Amino acid sequence: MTKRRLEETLEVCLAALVRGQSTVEECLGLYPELAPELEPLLHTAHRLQKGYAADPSPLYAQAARQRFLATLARRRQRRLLAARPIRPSWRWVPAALGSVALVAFAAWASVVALGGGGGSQNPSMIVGKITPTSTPVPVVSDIRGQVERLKANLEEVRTGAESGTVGSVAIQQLKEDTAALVASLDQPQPLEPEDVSQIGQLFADQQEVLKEVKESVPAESAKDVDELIEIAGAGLAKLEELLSPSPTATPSATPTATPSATPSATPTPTATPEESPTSTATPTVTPSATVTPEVTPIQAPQPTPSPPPEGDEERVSLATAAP
Amino acid sequence: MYPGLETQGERLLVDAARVGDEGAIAELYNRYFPRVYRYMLVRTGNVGDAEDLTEEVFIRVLDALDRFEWRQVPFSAWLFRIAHNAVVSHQRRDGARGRLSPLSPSLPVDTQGPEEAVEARLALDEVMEATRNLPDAQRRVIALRFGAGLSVAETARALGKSGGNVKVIQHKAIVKLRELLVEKRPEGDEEKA
Repeated sequence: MTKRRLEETLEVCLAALVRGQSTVEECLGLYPELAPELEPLLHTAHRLQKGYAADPSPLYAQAARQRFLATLARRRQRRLLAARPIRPSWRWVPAALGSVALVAFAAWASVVALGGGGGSQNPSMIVGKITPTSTPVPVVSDIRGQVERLKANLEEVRTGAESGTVGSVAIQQLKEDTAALVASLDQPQPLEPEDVSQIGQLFADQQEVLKEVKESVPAESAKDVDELIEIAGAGLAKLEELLSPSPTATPSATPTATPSATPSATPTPTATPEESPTSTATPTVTPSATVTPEVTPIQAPQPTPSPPPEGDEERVSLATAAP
Repeated sequence: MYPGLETQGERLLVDAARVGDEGAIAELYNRYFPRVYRYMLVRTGNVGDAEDLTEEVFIRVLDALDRFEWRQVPFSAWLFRIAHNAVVSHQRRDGARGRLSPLSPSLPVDTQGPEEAVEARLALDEVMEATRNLPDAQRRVIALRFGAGLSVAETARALGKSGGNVKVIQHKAIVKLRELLVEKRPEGDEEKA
């Protein structure tokens, strides 16, 4: 009975000690009849408590955390890849049959058109209209998968460099994935501004990380790192092009004011328009008997493509590309 | 309050982590990392093993998180069951039980000043060595109570024992530790143990 009570009291005192609600002496004062047995036990427990307050070294804790987060990122990437629907092979059959039918129809149509004599279309033009639709293009979801993969690879290189274990294989993999992503940016399907911003940020981060880790990579990988920095730079330039309006030659200048001149029997050598035209259009009025004002729109200066940005400027503009 | 007590906040955090919320997973990691580390330190008595096993535990937690159910045990008890299994696997793997190795000199102890640090390090070495000599059941209770900071109830759930049983084992362990620590002390210094 006494032993049981001692165990219970010991636990009550331990809980109070852990909570910082009482000291060993205060606890002993609460249970004077048990004090002779309780005191040594509480002192020992207190020592244990203090002794085990050891924390892991900050260096190890930081490295372990990085490794854990990298594992988390790799798993997310795997999940994303696994979640991507894979079209079973049999599902390609209707599409293939459809393509064959289309090509056959195109061939037939061209023969009919040429045979009819009135065909104005070149067969190659017809086929040319069809073929692009059957050409597989990378889709946005693929690019997002590539971005996720690249992020994980970059994180791996970063953590590897911190612990001095970054290998040439990881650098090589990063290089291949980066080059693939840059190549994917040429897809005809437009990217969402959010994607552009994310990819831009990734390239900028990559350049920064690579410059930092350059010293800690194996000697044989130093060249790869330099090339990687260049590839990321090329990717940034390509993204900048995507963000900039394409320099088309379509004149946007439209005269905004129609000059009116009052016809009179005596032609006036000059006629002043009632409203001043905008600076992009300069109407000139040729005096004549019928006084037909002739408006010659002067083409506005064509938008000049901005020069490819370099260095930090790219990061700023890309980082602010998306809300 | 024991740090291991389940709070509503932790419940929300665990639920979010179970469905893959990486922020919640990272937060759980931050909360439990030092406690798992201390638990491993007590169980293995070896800094290198404690570090390796701590990381292994969190990888195992990631693997098993979606299978965690509140009905069975509190999250902390579930996590330290995983930690216990990791220790057992480790001991089986390389027969590391009882392997002695000094604490890392870089192991920080929560003290101020170099003298206090040295004293604390010696005290820690002493306590660790004494703990290594405990029977396994007692050592597990001490690791969960003093290393991981679990309550008696949580320790009981983690070990699959009753609260009363845990109190009995804890009492025996502290008595045994006192004996071991007094044996190591010079005569006349017993009171401090």
